[in-house]
Amino acid sequence: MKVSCLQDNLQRALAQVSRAVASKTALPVLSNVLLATDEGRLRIAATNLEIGITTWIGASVDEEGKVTVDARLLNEFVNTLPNAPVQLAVESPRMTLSVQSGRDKAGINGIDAEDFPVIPRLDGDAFVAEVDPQVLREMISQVEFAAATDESRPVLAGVLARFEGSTLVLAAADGFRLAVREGELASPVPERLDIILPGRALRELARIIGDQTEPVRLAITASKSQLLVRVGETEFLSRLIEGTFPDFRQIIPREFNTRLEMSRDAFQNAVRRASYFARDNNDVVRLTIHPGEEEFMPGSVEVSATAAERGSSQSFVDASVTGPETQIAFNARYLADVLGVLKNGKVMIGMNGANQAGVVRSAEAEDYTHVIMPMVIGAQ
Amino acid sequence: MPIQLLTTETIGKIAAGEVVERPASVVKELLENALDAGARRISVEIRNGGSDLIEVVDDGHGMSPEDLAAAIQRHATSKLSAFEDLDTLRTLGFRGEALPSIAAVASVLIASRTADAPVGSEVRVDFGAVGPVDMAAIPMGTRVSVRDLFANVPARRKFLRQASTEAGYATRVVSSYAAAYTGVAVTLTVDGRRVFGTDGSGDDVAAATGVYGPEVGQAALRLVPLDEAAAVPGVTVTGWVGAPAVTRSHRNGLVFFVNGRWIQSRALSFALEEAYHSLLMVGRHPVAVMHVALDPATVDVNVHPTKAEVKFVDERAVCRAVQRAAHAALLGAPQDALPRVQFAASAWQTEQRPMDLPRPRWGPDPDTGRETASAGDPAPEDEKHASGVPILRVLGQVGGTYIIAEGPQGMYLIDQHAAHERVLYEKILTQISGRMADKQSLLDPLIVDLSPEELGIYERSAEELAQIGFDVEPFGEGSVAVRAVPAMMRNVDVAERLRLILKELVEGGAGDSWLDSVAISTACHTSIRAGQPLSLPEMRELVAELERSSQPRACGHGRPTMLHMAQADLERQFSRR
Ligand SMILES: Nc1ncnc2c1ncn2[C@@H]1O[C@H](COP(=O)(O)OP(=O)(O)OP(=O)(O)O)[C@@H](O)[C@H]1O
Ligand SMILES: [Mg+2]
Repeated sequence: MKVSCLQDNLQRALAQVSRAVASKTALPVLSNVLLATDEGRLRIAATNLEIGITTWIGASVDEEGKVTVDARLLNEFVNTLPNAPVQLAVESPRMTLSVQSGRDKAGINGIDAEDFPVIPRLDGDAFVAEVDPQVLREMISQVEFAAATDESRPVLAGVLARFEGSTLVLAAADGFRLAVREGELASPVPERLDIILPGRALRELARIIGDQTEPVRLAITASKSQLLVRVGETEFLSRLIEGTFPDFRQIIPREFNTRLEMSRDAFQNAVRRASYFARDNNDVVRLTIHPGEEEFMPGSVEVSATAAERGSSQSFVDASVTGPETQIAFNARYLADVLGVLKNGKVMIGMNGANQAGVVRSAEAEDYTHVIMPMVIGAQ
Repeated sequence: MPIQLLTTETIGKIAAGEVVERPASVVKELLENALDAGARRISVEIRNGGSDLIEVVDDGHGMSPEDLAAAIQRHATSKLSAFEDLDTLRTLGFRGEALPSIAAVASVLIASRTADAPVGSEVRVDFGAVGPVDMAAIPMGTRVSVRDLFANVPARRKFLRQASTEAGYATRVVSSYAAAYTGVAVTLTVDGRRVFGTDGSGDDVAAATGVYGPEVGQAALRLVPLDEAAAVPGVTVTGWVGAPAVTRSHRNGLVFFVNGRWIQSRALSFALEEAYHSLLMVGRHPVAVMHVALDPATVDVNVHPTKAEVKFVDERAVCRAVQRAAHAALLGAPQDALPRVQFAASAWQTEQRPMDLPRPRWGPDPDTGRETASAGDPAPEDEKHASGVPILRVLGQVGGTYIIAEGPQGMYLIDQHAAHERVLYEKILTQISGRMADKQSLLDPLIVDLSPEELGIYERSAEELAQIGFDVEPFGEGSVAVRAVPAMMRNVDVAERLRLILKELVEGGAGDSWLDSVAISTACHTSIRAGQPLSLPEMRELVAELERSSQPRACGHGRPTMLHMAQADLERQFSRR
């Protein structure tokens, strides 16, 4: 192999794929990156068998070839080189990659590229959909955190992606809360498809999308076992979680006895204040909803927390309330999580009594729904 | 073969012993008799832990009135006439000892009818006093009803555990036989409630599902015949092993039958677990039902009064066969289960290696429970929290299990699990003083399959569990639905933890009251586990919480939460003094 490329392209590509490099692995080749010539460009790829990232950069190819070398070492070395052309060469049969920029030179011992796992490519796949990159990134951020962190039910440790008509729905639930976000696909898909993706993989995907503006292409491999995503010049691969996601629609209440709207910022602040006291009491935050006295007097939400040894706090947030006075308790962390991913503006909370699921949404948009199960405060 | 009396010589050669130890032993003997009689359906009923009633009804070949009279005599058996027969034994019974032994300590009514008899017969034996044989209306088969067990032996009665515990032991016996004798439909009823039933279809997985629930049934991997190279000559192993994802914290789920006889064998258990090798986390055990078939001449069943142990002529060969059979089944297991568990398991193993320091002179004084503060130590008493814990600076974590901290008098090692257990235990106690604990509701009820034993203990503990914050209700046969969990129980596998709590309670509680026992178990199984890496802030928070607790030195089970290595000891160890 003999190619030359620009240092900053190479550096960016290595940083991009390094997230898929296995950190602790029994298979040494998985801590390497693959460098391969590919139709006049340089292909750079890494995989930890859970996810894979492949990206292409422009290069002038003098001699075809491929090699894998330690990802971290190459990355660190390239980072320190000046922004100038870099020459990469491998002299077979010795698998040593020589990296040269001006008078700076390194020889990095590699492993034969034949040992590197084959990463499926995006072409002629069974199922393809397109979506706006920034919409997808926001969808991921609003849903992914609600996935379970324990692995007892693998399906719940993942995020459901449902393609149906011209919508994409992402949903995640950890047994205590549920997040559902709908987004639009660029064009309708021929058939409904449900897949479940590992939460971590989606976080990586959001990172890769970054501030991309070109549509993201999503494809499922013919074996239905992997998701392939094309973002600009980068391809992202993730394994899928097998199983059936629970029917989440039935969990979402449609009607509410009590409904309130208030400023997200004000409510978020009140919850944060209460959470400092809730910390020592299982994160219990109580909401007491006071309806307005008269038609034009706003109601309010009292946000309070008590820790037996530390003290207590109360905050009041103005809110427009429909329905009777109620009390409900939530885990402060769950509230903070959802408030953090809602756009500022107004938040809507709907509930049906102290023991029933509460729904949190933006008052302005219907496309995101978050359900939180309440905490039940022990009776005396 | 008609029943005949054994010669005295043969009797002498048979190890006589205590046959009836507890209700479960009665259940076992009656079940074995029913199986020996070729029954296709057997129903077992137990009331009040077996003290009030144990009844086994079978549809086997039954007994004629003459046989019935003989059956209750000591050393009357239809199954063995000379000692040489022991070597070719194909039945479970052979001593002619069970029925008379039971009848000596209980009120026993046996009714039976053979296929060709128009009418059945029955005989009653009250604490050894044999009544006349009467006619009785009964379908073909035998019904043995044992009432008031040990009523004439108060010492024995006192020795029995609580009814639910005794019922648990009996349940384990019936479960094991029902899972192994797949061709026999076995049902078990405890205190009027049907605990489980098998269909008698002859299918291993169907029986496993019937006994242990669908979760285990789905995980059951059938054993396949080994190829010639791997097979151990003369030993055949059949049955199933559970996929590595389904584990227990104890070995009760390992069931071995040798030539149809239920046995306990540490050697076989270890051999089987060896096959799972790194697939299991430390402290977890698989479930399995395995039949070992071998030439009766190569196994001695007569080494234990209740026949629970056997002696193999070549134990190593049997172990090898068990291990290879399990290994082959596991290799064929669904792919996705393997890598995940394997990963976790290897991480655990490296982290759980015991510490190896030279002659450490540390640890609490066994008498006073206080650390050995060395004589030459300046021991500044001022820097302590109200609870008596010194002010500690967290330095790091060893083996993902112990927090290392520095205090005014040297080095401290804190067992993160025991420490967290103590913290949670006290939190639970404060929460439930005079009220119900806070709980977190679940989006969707979680259905948890319980073993019959676990179900029994759940029923007994339902009120206490509710007070601690569990909202659990019975759900169909053999399962419960969890609707809410204690507020402190988050990010854990709820089903697994609930099962662990119940399992521990089956063994008997560790607390002063049952509520206390449930609290201790809940704290133990909700807390951070050994082997879980913690960040520095997490460790600091845990130590701070421990400092705030009222009795920080031991967990609810009484295990120490911290060890101290005094400055002086360190200096001595490094030969500075
Ligand atoms: N359920 C049954 N159906 C038919 N016959 C039975 C049944 N239970 C007992 N018997 C008869 O009664 C005899 C005595 O039973 P018992 O259990 O006392 O001795 P055993 O089974 O021969 O030997 P062991 O003491 O080892 O169990 C048996 O040999 C059998 O012939
Ligand atoms: Mg018998």
